[in-house]
Amino acid sequence: MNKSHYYFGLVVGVLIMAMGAALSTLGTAGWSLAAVGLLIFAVSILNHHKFSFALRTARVE
Amino acid sequence: MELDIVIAFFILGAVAKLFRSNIQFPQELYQTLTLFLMIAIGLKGGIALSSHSSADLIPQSIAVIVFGLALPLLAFPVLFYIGNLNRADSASIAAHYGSVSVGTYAVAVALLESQGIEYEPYFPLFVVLLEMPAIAVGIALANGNKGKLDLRKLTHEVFCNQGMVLMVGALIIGYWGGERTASITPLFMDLFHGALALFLLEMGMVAASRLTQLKELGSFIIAFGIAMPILGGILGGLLGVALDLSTGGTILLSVLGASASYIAVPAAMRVAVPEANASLSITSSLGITFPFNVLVGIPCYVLITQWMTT
Repeated sequence: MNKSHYYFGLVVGVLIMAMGAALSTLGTAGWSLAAVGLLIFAVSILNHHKFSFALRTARVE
Repeated sequence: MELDIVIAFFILGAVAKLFRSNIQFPQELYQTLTLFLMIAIGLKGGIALSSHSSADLIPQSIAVIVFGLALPLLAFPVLFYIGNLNRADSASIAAHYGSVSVGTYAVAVALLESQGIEYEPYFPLFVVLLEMPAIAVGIALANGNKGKLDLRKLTHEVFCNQGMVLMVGALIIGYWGGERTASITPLFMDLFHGALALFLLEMGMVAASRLTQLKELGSFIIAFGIAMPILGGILGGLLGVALDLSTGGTILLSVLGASASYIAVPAAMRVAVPEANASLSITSSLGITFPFNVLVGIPCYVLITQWMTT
């Protein structure tokens, strides 16, 4: 997995979570946005670790 | 904010697909509903234009076109340099995100009407104006394909695609007909929300069927498919405030900035940039951005716009 993809996902996830949290003071839609941000953050981390694991396994083999 | 009734049909479609229900939605009905929505939106705008046309429309229209040119220029570097996609794919996806989705616009209109929020009635004109610039920019960005470009075919795709012809045509008919359109308004205006609910039922099923392809796209496209509409939505909202639009108008411009095309642009890109991966752009616009906008984005743009305008 490309490192720039990983960092992009992390930064976007954090920014959207922060934005969602800020918007939650105005209405409940903000929480949905924060949840989407958390999802992007989690998907990026999972994707990165899955790829790193696959790469390590390939090297060992 | 309460969930709009038409959006409930989108969720129903997605849930039905995820549970592998055997709902058969005829392709012809989907096509009919698409035509219906385009004609209804164009007609509504034309009727409004016939009684509301003013000189303010000219600078506003120019600003909207510039906005349509700017969006793909913002998306392209992210896709090309951070996403490391090839030039053709980056240009094609950028064009999708610079253009607009009639379906997303229709959902936003339904939401505003159900909440009694007023908006400039000539907005369909801006929908039409935002369709084209992104295609031109996308082709310019793809650049390397210059020699192979069939200009005649491309011009035909850009100006004669069903969205452009029907929306511009209905806009002109509505403007020319004015109050005489009363005889057809029961079909196109009164049934608008019902037809939109059916359209969204099918869109929910289509979006859910694309979910399996998301695994192959990776985290970058998922993050981009959500970040880009938020950026476009905020910029659209700021432009609406700068143009002194009403709260409803600013929300609609925000939604137009956030939406990604899945009807007109794919057809144009197939001709102009044939080596671009069509599945990549259509999955990100239809599988990520459309559901995001319908379920989460639009209520957030409403909140942001109401915060900006008060």
